[in-house]
Amino acid sequence: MTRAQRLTLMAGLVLLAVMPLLFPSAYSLNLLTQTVVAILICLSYQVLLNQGGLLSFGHAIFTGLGAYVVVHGLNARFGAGLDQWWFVILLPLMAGAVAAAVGFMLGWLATGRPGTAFAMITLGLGELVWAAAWMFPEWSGGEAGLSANRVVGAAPLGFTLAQPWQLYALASAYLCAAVWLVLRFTQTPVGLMLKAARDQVNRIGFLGYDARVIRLIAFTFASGLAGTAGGLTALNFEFVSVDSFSLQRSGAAMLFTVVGGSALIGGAVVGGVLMVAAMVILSTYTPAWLLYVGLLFVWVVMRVPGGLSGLQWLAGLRWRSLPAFAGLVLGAIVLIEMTYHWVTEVGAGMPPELALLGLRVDVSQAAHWWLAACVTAVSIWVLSAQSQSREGVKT
Amino acid sequence: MTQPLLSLHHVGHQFGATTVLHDVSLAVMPGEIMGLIGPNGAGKSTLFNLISGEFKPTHGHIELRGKRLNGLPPHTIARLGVGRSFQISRVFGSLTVAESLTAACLWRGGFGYGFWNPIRRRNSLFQAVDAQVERLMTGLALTHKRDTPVGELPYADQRAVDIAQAVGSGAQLLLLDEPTAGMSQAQTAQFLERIADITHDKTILLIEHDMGVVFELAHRVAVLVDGRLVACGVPEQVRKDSAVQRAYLGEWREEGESWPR
Repeated sequence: MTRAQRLTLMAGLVLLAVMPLLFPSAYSLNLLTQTVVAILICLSYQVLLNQGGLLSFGHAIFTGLGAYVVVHGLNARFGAGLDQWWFVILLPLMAGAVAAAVGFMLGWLATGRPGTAFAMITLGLGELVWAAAWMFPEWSGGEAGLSANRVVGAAPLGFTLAQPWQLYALASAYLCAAVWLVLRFTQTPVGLMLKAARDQVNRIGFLGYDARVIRLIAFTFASGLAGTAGGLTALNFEFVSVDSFSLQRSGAAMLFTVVGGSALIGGAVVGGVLMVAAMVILSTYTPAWLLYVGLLFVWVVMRVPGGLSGLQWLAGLRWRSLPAFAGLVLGAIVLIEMTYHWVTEVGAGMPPELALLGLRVDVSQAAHWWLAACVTAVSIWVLSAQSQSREGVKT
Repeated sequence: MTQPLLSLHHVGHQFGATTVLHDVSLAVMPGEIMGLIGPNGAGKSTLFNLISGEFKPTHGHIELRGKRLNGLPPHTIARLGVGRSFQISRVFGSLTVAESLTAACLWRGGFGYGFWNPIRRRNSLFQAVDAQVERLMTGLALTHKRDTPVGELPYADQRAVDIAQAVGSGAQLLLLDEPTAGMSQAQTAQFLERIADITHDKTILLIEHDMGVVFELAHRVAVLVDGRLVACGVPEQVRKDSAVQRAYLGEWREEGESWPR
């Protein structure tokens, strides 16, 4: 590891420790815990995508499974005489172990071939597990889900998990352990061969390594990490439902990890932060949040192939393009929100006015539509003129 | 008489209804460099794919030191001591030179599928692998580029790394598929000098289009035409062989090319 990487990692640790002091309210602590868990989900996905070039559409199998292990564990602990603090804080670890075991078995099926075949098989397995969870409502709780209670009676230093900061501390500890494990894994023989197979899968066989075994080990490892992340989610919400196995969850893990991009740890951090920013925060402000996520995803895949953490895209930014870019974003947001408001609210008999980024917009007035459309169009025109003049300079 | 390192017994291969190799029998002696020549589509690369386990021969069998290789997967054949390079380099573009060569040496170095201990932590094993990696880099004059991603190296360096990986895997038998493809004559000579150092104690089966190279380097030359072995012998003998001249060299003479590239 280089000195710069070491320093970045230390800065991350300090940030992890300082955040709850800066934002001590129960709401923000809960948000921080969710962020830490989301980073862990993206980190587990990075092992597959970044390290191995494997695109899985079934990641929710393992996050979901981990969540169920924790909820069932919490509920079973009273009968088993295990209402102990150490049992509860070790539950996410157990969730990881179970998910890794299942990951190993499903991995046998999925890792036979890389590329599209792998993606399709994981997609199929994800749907299979989701359907199976619906078929056993006593076990899964169906759509209504299952609740649990994470608080333990007596614990040293009062670490009963009743306080939000305690859960944040637990999740952070698991994240740190996971980062350590992932960094260590990249330096092992299998970690190196996984990277080699990402570049040239047809070469490593002729070096004595069976690419399938490499993929299987990586898949098992990633599944275990995902299971731990899912377990922490369940511990945080004290609730789980079949929704945990949905394709949307798998898709979110993939999407935000891709947006996070090519830096192994940095990509997971960016992906995890954006995941919570979009799914938890943005979704409370606008019903169009998924549309924005989709636009972001398309923009990253088209324009920033290395992902946001790759940082090369920052070098491509031009200050003089900033006003036009801001105009485009503002105009597009206003147009999208007006459309959503028109279709969903006004159609349901609500007033035509909405407050938006400090503006009062009235969707019944054509002038407002025209203004938003003009801002958007002019911004696009300026941006394309600027990019053309830049290309003109080059040639 | 010494046992051949590699022997092919009546090997044939079909893709569906198309037969690409007919009844090829061949023995490569330890320490020998055998050139494998033939026009495009003669089945040279297919033969390499059969020996290295990428395809399974549909007829006959292949033996390495008397052990049958038929039907074994590529990684098992590689562990038995067969290494190969590719007509189109298959290098690990994002790995550095040192990482690529380390990856090549890992299995022979006894690391197996380790996923817990970092490579560097296993001191006794790592020292041997590291020494081997250094030897390869020194031999190829790549030591100063050890931390450069292979994908960013010049073409000749990438091909050198590809071959060094085959050597690093501990192979006794090297299958080199047009190692100098796309190089000028001057580059070719320089390149062969570079790899001579790391391959001097290996048995080599060499596909090469540059006849100058083949007849100079190879102890024996085998000629494949339309999937059939039409001649196999010392260079002088092959050069004079009427079947070869008729089926192969003559065609080029007619086209006015002395030595095709």
